[in-house]
Amino acid sequence: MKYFVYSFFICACITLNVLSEEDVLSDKIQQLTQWSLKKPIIRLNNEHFKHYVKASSRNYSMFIMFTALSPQRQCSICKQAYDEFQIVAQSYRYSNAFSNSVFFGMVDFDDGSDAFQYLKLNTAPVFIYFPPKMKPKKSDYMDLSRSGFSAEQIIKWIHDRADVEIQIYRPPNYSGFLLVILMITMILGLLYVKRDSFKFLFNHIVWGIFIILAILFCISGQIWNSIRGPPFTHRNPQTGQSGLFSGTSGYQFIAETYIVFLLYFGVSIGVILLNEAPKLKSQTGKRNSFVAAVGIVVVVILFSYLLSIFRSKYQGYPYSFLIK
Amino acid sequence: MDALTSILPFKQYLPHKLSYDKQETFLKLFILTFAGILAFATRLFSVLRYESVIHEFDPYFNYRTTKFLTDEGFYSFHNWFDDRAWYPLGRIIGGTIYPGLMVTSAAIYHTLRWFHITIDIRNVCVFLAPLFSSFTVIVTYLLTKELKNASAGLVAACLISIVPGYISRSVAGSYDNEGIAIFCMLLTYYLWIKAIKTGSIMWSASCALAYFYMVSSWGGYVFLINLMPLHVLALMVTGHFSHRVYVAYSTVYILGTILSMQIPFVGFQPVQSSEHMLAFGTFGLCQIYSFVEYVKSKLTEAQFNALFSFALMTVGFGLGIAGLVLWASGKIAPWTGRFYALLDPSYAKNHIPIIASVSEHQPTAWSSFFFDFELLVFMFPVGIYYCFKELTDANIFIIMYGMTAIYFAGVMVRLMLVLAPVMCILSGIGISSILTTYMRNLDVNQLKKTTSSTASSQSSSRSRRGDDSSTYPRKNEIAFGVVCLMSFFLITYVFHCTWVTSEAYSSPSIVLSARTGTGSKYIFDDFREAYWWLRYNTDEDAKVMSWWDYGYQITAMANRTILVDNNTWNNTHISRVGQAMSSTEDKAYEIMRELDVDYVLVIFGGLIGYSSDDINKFLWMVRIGGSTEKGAHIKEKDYFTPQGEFRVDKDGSPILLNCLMYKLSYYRFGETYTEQDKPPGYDRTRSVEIGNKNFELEKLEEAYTTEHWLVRIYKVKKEENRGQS
Repeated sequence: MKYFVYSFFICACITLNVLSEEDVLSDKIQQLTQWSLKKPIIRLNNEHFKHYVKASSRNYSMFIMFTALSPQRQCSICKQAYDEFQIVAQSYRYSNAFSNSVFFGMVDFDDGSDAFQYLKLNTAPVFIYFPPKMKPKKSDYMDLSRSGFSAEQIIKWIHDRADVEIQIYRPPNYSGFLLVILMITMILGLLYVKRDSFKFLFNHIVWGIFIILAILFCISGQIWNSIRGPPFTHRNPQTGQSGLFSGTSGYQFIAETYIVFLLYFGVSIGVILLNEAPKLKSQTGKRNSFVAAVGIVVVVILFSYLLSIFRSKYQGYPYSFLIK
Repeated sequence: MDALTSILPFKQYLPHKLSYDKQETFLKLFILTFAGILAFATRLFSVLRYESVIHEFDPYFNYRTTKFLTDEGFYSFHNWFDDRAWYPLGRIIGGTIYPGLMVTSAAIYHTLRWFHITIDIRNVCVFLAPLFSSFTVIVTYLLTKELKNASAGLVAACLISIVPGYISRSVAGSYDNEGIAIFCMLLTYYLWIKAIKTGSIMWSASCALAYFYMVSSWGGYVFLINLMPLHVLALMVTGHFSHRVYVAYSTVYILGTILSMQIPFVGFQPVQSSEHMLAFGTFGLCQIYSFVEYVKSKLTEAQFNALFSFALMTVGFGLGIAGLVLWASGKIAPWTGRFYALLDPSYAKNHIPIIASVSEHQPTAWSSFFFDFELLVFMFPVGIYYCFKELTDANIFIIMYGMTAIYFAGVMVRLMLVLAPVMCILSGIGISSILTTYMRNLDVNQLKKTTSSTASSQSSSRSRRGDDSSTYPRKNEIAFGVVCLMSFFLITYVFHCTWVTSEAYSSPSIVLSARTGTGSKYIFDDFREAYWWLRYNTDEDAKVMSWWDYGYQITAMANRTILVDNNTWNNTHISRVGQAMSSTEDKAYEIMRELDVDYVLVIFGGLIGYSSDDINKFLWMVRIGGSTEKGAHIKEKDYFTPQGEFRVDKDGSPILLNCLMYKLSYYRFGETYTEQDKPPGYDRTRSVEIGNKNFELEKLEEAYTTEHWLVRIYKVKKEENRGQS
């Protein structure tokens, strides 16, 4: 009898325990479903991660992106990867496959450094699949270096791991279109305001300045910037010093090109000033000499500075002028 | 021209008895001749350092075709089916090249022969590009003279004679299409400006002929056929459109299109492809515009307005309906990738991988602009500014040219070549206008007080300067300063250009050189050694397998049949070679038997530290080899270590250490000492000791290795006779 009571007690305990665990589980699922209905990617901090992901008692699976989105981390591909991941999660959220057994989550390094430590991650972004009731294996890590992180590749990977079919739906990008519309309305508005005199449109000087700026834009390497997307300045990770110029001729930073733009602009303006100086109309003629002198000084100083920058970039370049 | 004589303080050194006009002509001739000779001479660095040798890869193909043309005549050249390349497929040469370059060389060769000046065709090829650079100098003078005046023309001519952006493609030995294409381009522009200015059919027809020459010599003619319509459109918008422009454009378009279609390689593209549609559309617009003007001249204003609005509405409505129907039926798609590629430069990088992979298609960093143009980068905007001050038909053209060229040069580094002439022309205009202004202000009298001078020239220069009456303090000193400054700038330009030409653009790449410890020059001539060995020691019909980079050189110099070459038209064939190189020796032997290969040639730089050898290019072979169906088993990641590194030492992937390319490169290298204090088999290019040292080749045998091991040639053994083993 005594044994019976004991065993009954134990049984009851176990059942209770199981019951409570099931309760917790359904609570969790409910919570997660609620969250993901609100936002397709659930943002997890340290505690959430421990509670919803790390705990082995899960009957749902999760796809989690580990990333570092805050601007001071300077992770430019994290943002792109996040956008792609969001497209996937969004498509999943509004597809027929949406269920309460698969969730999408995201851990930012600044909220969830413990999670990073727990998984021994030292890079970002990382996509990991957490299968139900198990810890992720090696094969549950998405191989970003080989497949890249486009939404199509993520979907393929999800299909491999969790057998969930997601039809991708990319929201059309209206930003470029809107920009064009905005520009056109602005131009039309300008024309409307100035409808009495279209003279400014036929002003050669306005057009000339516009075209000179466009040329300096091209010649100072801005097209290179827009294709390659270099960082604004260079920061040395060891010393923390920041440098404006890259030391090699094949690379450049955005700040550097702006400086070069200004230098070119300055020299060009200096030469034009020189050219205009004798033609200026003034009583005493002092203005003429002043403008010409300014022109000479500007051209000489800026040119020598330009030469010294080029020299610092191009090893072995033998010529310099005034400034080493 | 007045400016020219007045800016010459040293006029007294000219022959006295000549009149001013004659003096002027004499000076112009002198400066132009000098600039032309300079342009020729500055391109001879490589010939003086090495010898009269053709550079790089493509020029060897051009050389070979030129030789064929001079030996066999034009008709057999036109019908030439080349069985020495792309074995066993062959290649139709006549229909797949721009023949202008070869025909030019052959014409020069035959002309000289006719005068009994015997010259080797190779020397014609080597010196063709410098010769045409000299011609370019003259055409630049003519063009700038049409745009501004003769003095600007002379400055521009001097600038273009040594501009590095142009020299990079036209040094002696770089026998390529671009060498003559720039001359053709500028000639076409000059005649186009003449045609626009005069409206005469003669100039327009000459322009069409020059355009034909351009089409026959370079694929870049597409730039011209879009620039001229753009110019016409800009003239329409700015209200400069006239009957002269109408006559010029209509003649040039019709004649030019018909003529350009005579080139087999161009064929029907001018009426089919979308690159030429702008020219076609502008042609139509010209007709409509002129028709409207004509109708307008015959009707009263009220009648015309009624007719015009009616016509506009019907035509607009009709076009709208047609556009909608076509769009709905999917015939036209207004926002395609091509459209985005034009507007957004990063589009090409993201969506067209082949553009991203080729180094000539890279965008241009600001330092490259400065490297190639030096002071022109900031004199160019000054020139633009002057063009805007007095806007003429011709100036609008040069502005359009400058704007488009600078955009394209920014997107693609090789198009610097197209930008170089306009840079020089506009900078020439800028520099000459400064010099003209201040030379006038320079008070020559004061200087002359110290130096004795003749009275006649003094009085004339004073009378010339009489028109500039405004005076201001220190006029003379400032003028002196500015003139000195400009001279100084031009001197730095000369030094810069000479330095860049000598350091960066004058290495032939077929002959390598290095400095020894004592500072003297050491020359590696292994490539030619190997090619001559092939020529004299192998069977006439032997087939040589190598990576495609060396195809043109082998056919041209060794005169042997090759499998793939630099005209990469057949990807599966290249892929097959890539598969052979990245397979094990047994597998590769099967492929080589299938392709009937007799010799295999590899480039190996490990002994002397030459970095662009086949091992460093090997990943491309793997990639291309694995890209087709037959090579699907070749996976790039098998050639990396588990950490994802490409290594040839002990840690390297075993598949890499046993593939054919590795074995052919490092055969018997393990016994060789390359550097002091290093074990045998130390690779100096990759700075490691190689991983797989003692192996023997079973199916191949070493045939020849050059002095510095740069080129290694192996003979593929025949299959063994049956029953012997």
